[in-house]
Order: sequence, then C-alpha cells, then structure tokens
Amino acid sequence: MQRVDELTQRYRKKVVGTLEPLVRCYCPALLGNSNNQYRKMVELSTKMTLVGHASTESAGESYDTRRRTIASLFGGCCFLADSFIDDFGEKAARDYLARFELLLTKGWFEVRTDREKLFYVILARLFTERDVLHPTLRQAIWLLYEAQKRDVELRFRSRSLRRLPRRKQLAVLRQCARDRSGHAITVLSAFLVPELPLAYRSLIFTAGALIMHIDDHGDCYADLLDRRITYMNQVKQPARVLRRIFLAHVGRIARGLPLGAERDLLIAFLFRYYITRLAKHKEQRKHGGTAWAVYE
Amino acid sequence: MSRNGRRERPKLGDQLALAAQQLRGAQEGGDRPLLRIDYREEAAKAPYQFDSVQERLHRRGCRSIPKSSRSALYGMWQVGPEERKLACPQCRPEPTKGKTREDSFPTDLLYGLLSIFDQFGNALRERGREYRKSRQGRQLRADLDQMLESFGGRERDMLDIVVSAFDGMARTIRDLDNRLNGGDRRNGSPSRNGANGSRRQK
Repeated sequence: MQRVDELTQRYRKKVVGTLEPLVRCYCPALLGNSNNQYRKMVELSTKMTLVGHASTESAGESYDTRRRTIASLFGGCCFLADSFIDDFGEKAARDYLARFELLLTKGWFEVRTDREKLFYVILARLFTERDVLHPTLRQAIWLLYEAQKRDVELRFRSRSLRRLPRRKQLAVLRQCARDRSGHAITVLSAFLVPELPLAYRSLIFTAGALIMHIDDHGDCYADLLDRRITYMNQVKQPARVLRRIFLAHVGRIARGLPLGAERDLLIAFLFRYYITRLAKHKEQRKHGGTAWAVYE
Repeated sequence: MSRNGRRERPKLGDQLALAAQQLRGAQEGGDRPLLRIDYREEAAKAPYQFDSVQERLHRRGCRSIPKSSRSALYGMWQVGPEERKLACPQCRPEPTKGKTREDSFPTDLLYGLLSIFDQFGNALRERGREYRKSRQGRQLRADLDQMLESFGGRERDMLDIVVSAFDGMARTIRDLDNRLNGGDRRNGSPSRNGANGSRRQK
C-alpha cells in the first residue's frame, strides 16, 4: 500500500507535467473551472498511469518515460471524452458520439470548442506515440466506443430498460459497466504493450470491470441525482454486492498473474480504490451527491 | 499560459494534426476517409475470437461463445502454442503456422502514401506553390541545388534510378488500382491525373 502512495505522488507530478502545458495552450478555461475539473482530470490520469504501470510490468516490459506519457495522455483523453458524454446533456452527448464515430470510421473530427481542441490534440499525440493501426488496439477502441454508446442509450432511453424483468435489467447494466471500463483498460494496455499475452489481457479486462463497479458505487448519489442508472445504484445491497464482486475479481487476478511486485501493486491499487470509494459513498450519502468533489 | 503568466506555444505536431482536419473540404472525390481505426470488417473475418470475459479462445462462430461475451470478443489471426491452454474445448482452435497478416505491410504503406497524394493532391500542390515562393522554400531550393552540384556522376545516376523507380512504381500501382476499380477513370469519371497533367477541379 505504501508503494501505491509513493507512486501516486510521483505519477501525479508526471501527469501534471504532461497535461498542464496542453491545457494551458488549448483550453486554459479548464484550469480556472469552478468545478475542479482540471484536478479531477489529473486524478483520473494519475490512476491510469498507476494501472498502466502494473499492467506493463506484469507483461514483463519496463514502464519507461514514453509509456508513462502514453498513460498520462490516455487519462486526459478519457476524462474529456467522459465529460462530453456526462456533463452537457443528451443532445451534446449524442452529437459527440456521432462525431467520434466519424473520427473512428473516417478520421475526420470537427473541432468546435476549446475543450474539443484539447481532446483532439491529446488524441493526436497519443496516436503518434504508438501504431494506432495495431489490430488489438483498433478493436479495443471500437469496442470501447460501442460500450459508451450503449451506456448513453441506457441513460436516455431508460424506459425500454424498465420494461425488462428486473434480473435482465441488472444483467444489462452490469454488462454495460463491465464493457465500459474493461475495454478502456484494454485500450490503455494495448497502447502500452501491443503484444500483451492473451491470458493477461483477460485479467486486465477483469481489473477494468472491477474499477467501473467501484467507481459507480462511489458516484452512486451523484448518478441518482443526474437520473443516471447504473448496476451499482440499482442493486438492493450495494456494499454487499460490491464486496462480493471485489473478492471474486481480485481472486481471479491474484490467481492469474504471476507472483511478484507488479501483481501486488495492481491488487494494492484495487484495494485502495475500493476502500476510498466506500468512504466516498458514505460521505456522499450524508452530504448529497455532487459529482465535482475531488477524490484521489 | 505558462506558470509565469505567458501562454504556452503550440507544438508543430499539434498544429499539423489540427490542420489535417481542415483538409476535409479540400479533398477530391467526396468524403473519403483520412484514417480508419474501425476494424469491424476485418475482425469479423478473423479465424479466431478471443473472449476477454471468459478468457477463452474460440474458432470464429463457435456456438459455445456465451451471449454475454459478444460485446467483448476480439478477432485473432494467429494462435501461439502458449495460448493452447485457453482454447475452447468445443471448437479446439489449434496453434497456427505460416503467413501472418503483417506480410502486406510494405505494400500497404506504399498504397497509403499514394492515397494521400491522390486524395489531397490539389491541396498539397497549392501548399507546394506557396512554399516554393516563401523564404524557406527559396532557401531549400538553394540548398538542394548546392547539394546536387556537389554530387558526382555516380551519385547523380543513383538518384535518377531511385526517382525513376519510384515514379514507375507509382504509375504501375495507379494503373492497377484504376483497373481494379473498373477501368480507366478518365472515361467519364473524375480523373486522377488529367491528360494535360493537371487535376480536374470538382
């Protein structure tokens, strides 16, 4: 756990060094944003950099400067993409998805705002760091996009979900959460180690799915306030369910990855994330959900 | 702005990436792709599929792939011996030998280069004309002339061979591409390189 703390401090500085000049150059308004968006971006990116460390070294590769930069850029990219989907309403979310689909299918992206310019520049830098046409990476990016699209559909078309039997509803929501973060972490891993062994790829996907459930539990009240339904805010005993998921997923990761510091680092990170999001959930229950509190 | 209050300078690579998006209106032949990341078509034809939820490797279309895994399947073209332990016991994918998908890489690269000239020929030509007139362009011209003067006969011959080989290859690929696309495009459809050597404006 101490190593997680040390690396978090170190990587936060690295993330700031990578992202802050870009933010200052292309979207300076983000720095003065009253909702702490820049700080949230840095925290998400730090998390990605740490997960990237564990997945790279688990595959026997060294987590060098280039890979740390890739992870920092990827975190920035994820934060901005999530904000386009989450923060500007249904029309903006759908519009972004349509334009992102055009980017993936034809390479064209119409930049309309400074935030979009920042997103596109980060994306372009990410694409030049690694062969973006690697088959695994291309598939992971597309599958992540499809998962995001399904998530948006569920959010804005929840009536059709409500018509399903409860058990089926929960299965759909759980699968959606699994895919969103499972494919996101697969994209990150494919950027870091394109030839990641298949067995590790599945374990990394498992870690991603777990991160999403933990995240959704932490954001439970903020999501309910935004009328966003997730698996974790629909189950009857969320803390108990999350504990079960955590033990099952971490157990699988522990059995699958070779013994070593990298495996321990990933598990320690997941444990720390779990504990802090349980605390966030309790705190938000007291104070009401606000999506803009910054958590490490 | 930087820490001391100055605005950061944009990097050339970022500016190029942003400028590339402005080429959308400058391209020939409608809304053609600049870069396709979407890999669904190829992945659907891959001989193997990896279920990243169940950690299971299948032959394409195996009936034992769970429905809940369909959104997490990755197309695979090769199976290594170390992946045998992940093989589905129903369809039993075997380790592969022989040619990989990557064998066509150099040809793909050449096609890629030619497609950029083809797609953005007009825009590139305009930029080239502007650049030729600029101070940097004139300087480059002077440098090139100086470099050519310093070449001996043998080096000049080598350069001629390289240039004519590239030109010949480009012409061959273009002719082949034209034939594959249904014959001579000059006959009623947009010309890639008109009879007088200039491109037709759309």
